[in-house]
Amino acid sequence: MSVQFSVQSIEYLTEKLSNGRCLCDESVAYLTAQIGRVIFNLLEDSCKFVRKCRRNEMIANDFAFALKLNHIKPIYGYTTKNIDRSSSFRKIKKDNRILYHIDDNIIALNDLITSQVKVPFDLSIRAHWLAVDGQQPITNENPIVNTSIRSVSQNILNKSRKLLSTEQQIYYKELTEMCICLNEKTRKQALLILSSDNSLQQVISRVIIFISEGVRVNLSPTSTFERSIILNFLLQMCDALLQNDNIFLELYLHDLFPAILSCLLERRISRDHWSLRDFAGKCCGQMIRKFSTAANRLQQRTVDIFYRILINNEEEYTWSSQYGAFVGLCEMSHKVIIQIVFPLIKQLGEKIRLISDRELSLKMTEVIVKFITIAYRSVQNDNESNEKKLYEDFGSYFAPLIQRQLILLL
Amino acid sequence: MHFSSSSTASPLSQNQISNTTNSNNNVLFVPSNTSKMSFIIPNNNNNNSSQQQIVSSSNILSATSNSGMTTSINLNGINTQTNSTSNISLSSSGQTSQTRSPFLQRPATDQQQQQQRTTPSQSSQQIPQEEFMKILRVLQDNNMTESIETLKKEYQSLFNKTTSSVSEPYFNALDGYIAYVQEQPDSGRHEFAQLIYPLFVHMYLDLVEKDHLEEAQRFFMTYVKNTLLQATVFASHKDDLFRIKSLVSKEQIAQSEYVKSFRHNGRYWIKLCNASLELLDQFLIKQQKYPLLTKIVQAYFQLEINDGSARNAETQRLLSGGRLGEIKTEDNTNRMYFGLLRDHDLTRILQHKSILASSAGGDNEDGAGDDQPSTSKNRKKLKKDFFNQRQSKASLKVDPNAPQLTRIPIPELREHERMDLINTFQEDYSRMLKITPDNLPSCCYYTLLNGYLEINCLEISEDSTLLAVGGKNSIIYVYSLNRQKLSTMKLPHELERLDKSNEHVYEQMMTNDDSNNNNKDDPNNNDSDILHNQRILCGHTGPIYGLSMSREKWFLLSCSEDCTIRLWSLLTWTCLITFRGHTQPVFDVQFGPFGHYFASCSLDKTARLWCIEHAQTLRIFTDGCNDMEALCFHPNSNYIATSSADRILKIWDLLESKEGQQLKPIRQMSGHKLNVCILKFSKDGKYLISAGYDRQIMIWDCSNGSLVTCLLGHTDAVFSMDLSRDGSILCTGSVDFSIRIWNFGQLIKDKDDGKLDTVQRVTPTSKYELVTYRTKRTSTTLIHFTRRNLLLGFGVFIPQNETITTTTKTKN
Repeated sequence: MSVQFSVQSIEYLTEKLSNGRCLCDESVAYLTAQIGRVIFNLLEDSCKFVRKCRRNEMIANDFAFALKLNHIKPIYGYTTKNIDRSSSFRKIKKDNRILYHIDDNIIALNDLITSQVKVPFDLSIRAHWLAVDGQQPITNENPIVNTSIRSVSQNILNKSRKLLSTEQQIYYKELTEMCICLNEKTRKQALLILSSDNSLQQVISRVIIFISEGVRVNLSPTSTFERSIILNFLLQMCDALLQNDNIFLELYLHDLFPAILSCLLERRISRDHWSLRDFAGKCCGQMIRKFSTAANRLQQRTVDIFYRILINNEEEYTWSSQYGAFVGLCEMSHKVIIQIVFPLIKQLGEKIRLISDRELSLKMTEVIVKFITIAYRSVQNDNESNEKKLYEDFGSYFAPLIQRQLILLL
Repeated sequence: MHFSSSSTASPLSQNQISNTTNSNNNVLFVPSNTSKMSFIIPNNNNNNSSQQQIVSSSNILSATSNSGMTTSINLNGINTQTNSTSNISLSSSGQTSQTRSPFLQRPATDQQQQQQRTTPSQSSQQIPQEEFMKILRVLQDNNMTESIETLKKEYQSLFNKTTSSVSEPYFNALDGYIAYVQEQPDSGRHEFAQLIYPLFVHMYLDLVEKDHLEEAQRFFMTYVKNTLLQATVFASHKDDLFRIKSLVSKEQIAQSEYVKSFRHNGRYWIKLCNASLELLDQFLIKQQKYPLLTKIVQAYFQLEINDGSARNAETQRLLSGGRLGEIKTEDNTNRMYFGLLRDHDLTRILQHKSILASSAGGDNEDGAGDDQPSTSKNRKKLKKDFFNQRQSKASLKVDPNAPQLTRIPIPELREHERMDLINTFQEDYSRMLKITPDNLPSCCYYTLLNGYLEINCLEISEDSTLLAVGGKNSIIYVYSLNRQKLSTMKLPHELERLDKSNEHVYEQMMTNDDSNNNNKDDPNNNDSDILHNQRILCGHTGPIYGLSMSREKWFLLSCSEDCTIRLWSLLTWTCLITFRGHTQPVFDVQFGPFGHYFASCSLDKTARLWCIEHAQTLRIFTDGCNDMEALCFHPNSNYIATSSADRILKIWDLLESKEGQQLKPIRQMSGHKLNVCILKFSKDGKYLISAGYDRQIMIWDCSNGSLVTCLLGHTDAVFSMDLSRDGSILCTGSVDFSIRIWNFGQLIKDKDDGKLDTVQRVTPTSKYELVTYRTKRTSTTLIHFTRRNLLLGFGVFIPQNETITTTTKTKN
């Protein structure tokens, strides 16, 4: 419908403009209708400018020119800023009336001077190949070719079987070498590429194989290399790939996911394996959040694996594996912790009490207390921690520890 | 209320209709013996039987106004009468609102009709407001407060009752007509449905003008909400429906530009086949079931007989959408010389180009391995041709459609210019890519960053080396795309010193690159950045809306919100002339294909022709009440095509018309449903291609103004378009972030061979589309084929966080 103002607001404005004198109801009603019409016409005129400028969005200037077109003095001062467009209008609700206003705060001069004012960027032009001989090359500038039903042709299927071009082979080689070199700076660069470049799609299957094979070789008992560092690098690659929104990883999860789980749950102990497990747990949680759907039941299946390891009583799994499983579960979500991990704590506490290795038991206790406290706090909003309930929930081993932690967090 | 009025009118009009049909006139003019005014305010001054009753009642009033007592008695008498009758009308209205289904049953409407006819006294009891005021004054003079009160009360109740019934005839008439349309056989139903939309609009406007806003709004909502009508009748007019809805008072209607162009700019033009017209005639004139309909049709419509059988429904739907219906066939019958100016050197060069292309293409198709020698042979032949112009002239066929070279005087090319052109074109043309479905064009894309909401328009020079960008901030930026320095011409006193016989005098005229101003930003600039070589042209005082560069890259035209057009020199980088004349912001400007002339169009509802040597306008083409939004020059420089706000494309002849006669467009084309953004003539000048916000790419035949076909495929507004240099490929860029490439040559070939089975219908995407290129977040606002048929796309990057909802928010 056309523009409509409420009679009250027009009445208020007329009162304000004529120093408190009121107009009669009829005049106000007439005025309201008139103003609605005028604004509608002005908006229609400003639409002309929007159309001419090939935009979809109306900005304050368009309205100013529409005013000018109708021989009305434009209102200056309302500029549409690119940066804070969304927050330009604020809403106030009072007495069932809604008022929109522009934030017009007074800015202290000192703040303005000392703050780092962003200088608007100048216009720049960038050229790239949108298409070469009818094919759109896969580069950062081009969009991902959408695999809609119509365009999923044999073309794409053939492409995946095609050998990589020489350039791509070199790209793959350089990239993987950079990823596992010991120079921190080049490695950072390589990870940045992994997390942002969408031309990776062509070589992604190779990169995934590189990661999974790397994990397999380095976890095998015969490897002599300083393996935890390499494993850490490989996990960092996974992490970077997960951050890249432009590539499709779904097709390669069957390679990538076992690799991460292996790092998380490996039996043997190597140097610095705790942090490796922590990192793998993070990756695992991230993947599940990103890819788990009702259809693939990824989360359900992973939870099953972890749960089996945790509740096993027959010393089939080492404590380090159980540590990994615990971290993996806890990294998924608070909901998982509350629903699955909470009931296990009591039992775990009894088991940990029996560990002879002091470092191991300390580490286990530390991680369990850390996760449980955070989750517990999110459920238990009231600050008074019910001591009795704590003991009931978590047993005599963990309850005092968690309680102390809760107090510390306060 | 005034049913009887039309009965007196009908025999007359019937006679006239039969006369006109007998005389075999193709256009049927339905005469209206009742003027518009009498129709809009039907209660006054009608010479019919019902009027007598009004007169009589007012006679009573005026006669009794001498004494207050008798007046009140008389009034009371009338009022008791009205109470009884108004009860009937109220119940009838209640009944109708209940039974008002999308399409009313015939009998029901008939009953109501009868009901209303049985209460003829109802109309007589409407006391005009002046009379009422008169009585009031008399009563006040006589200090009869009680009577005033009762009179006011009674009048109020009477008035309200009459309003509730005012809209009834409108509802009945439109429902009746819709039901009538539904009764028609499927094959011809759409022909009758054409009338629904204009009838609806006129009725709504009438209701509003009679100050029955609520009724009018109810009327509007009843029909617009009707899904069946939405899908068929109103689909082509959505844009206008929005405008109509906003008109809610008499003053608004009087001031509205839309109503001006809808009611007073001509009659709503409807094309029907003979059989449908006879049926319609039967329904509207002979049966006279709904005199209201007859009146509106007589006052505002014009029906044209189409020879033969009814048109296809799809064709009719495609051609609808103009504000005033379709185009009078007669308007498009004048001769248009759409051929090219073959006698002009420039055309000749271009023509040779295409001859070369076709022969080279032929060689390729033959699969012969020896293209190289053949092209070089051709090149030699070409050169010979250019030096012996007489021979080449004889070898060309005379095109009967081509205008005389002197029809519009066009300056000849200068000698050096001609030689330059021949050289460059030969070189470029021998390397031109022949685009076929197997050999798709490459596309280089220029993305303008940080320019969203700042950049209004783009323009590229013919040789694809200069890019001009017009900004919201009134500044024009010019960039060199091929890393060549944008050099300035030397000052006059330096120019005088040059040796004019020197071969390199043109290079010497320019300042050296190393000198002064270019130096400062040189060292620290990245070589790959195009921006290191830019010029800024300042002068306008409002946003730039259009740019055009002359073929030889000497001049740049710009038009702006400040109502002026400026001519800039790209040699001295200064403004040469400011053309004043338009009274509103100028929206588009374009150089003619031979330079010298240029045309502009503006919000002041005119298009103007100018010449760069005069500061005054040469021609003014006015278009009633509609803004002109885009224009395009015909390749022979004899015509311009414009698009205006009523969604009708118009082609204007630049030749001066006869004295005193208003310049009328030589061709008009209706079919777009929303505003048109871009127009282009095909390279041979025979077809006009248009596209815009309604996503339709429509191809029109200039010889008779008919639609060839409509290409659909884009999912949003189309903003840019270009044809390949050999004219065989059409490329369109849209705001849906895609560029589509169409096989235009094949389409035309199929059409000429009669193989195109979608003439005047929608051609599906798959048939002629070669490929779609997608951009990331850039809507292409300029598309350009280089001389070698490389595709260049230009667009402003749209940042991610912007939302379209902000626009709608402000609208609501």
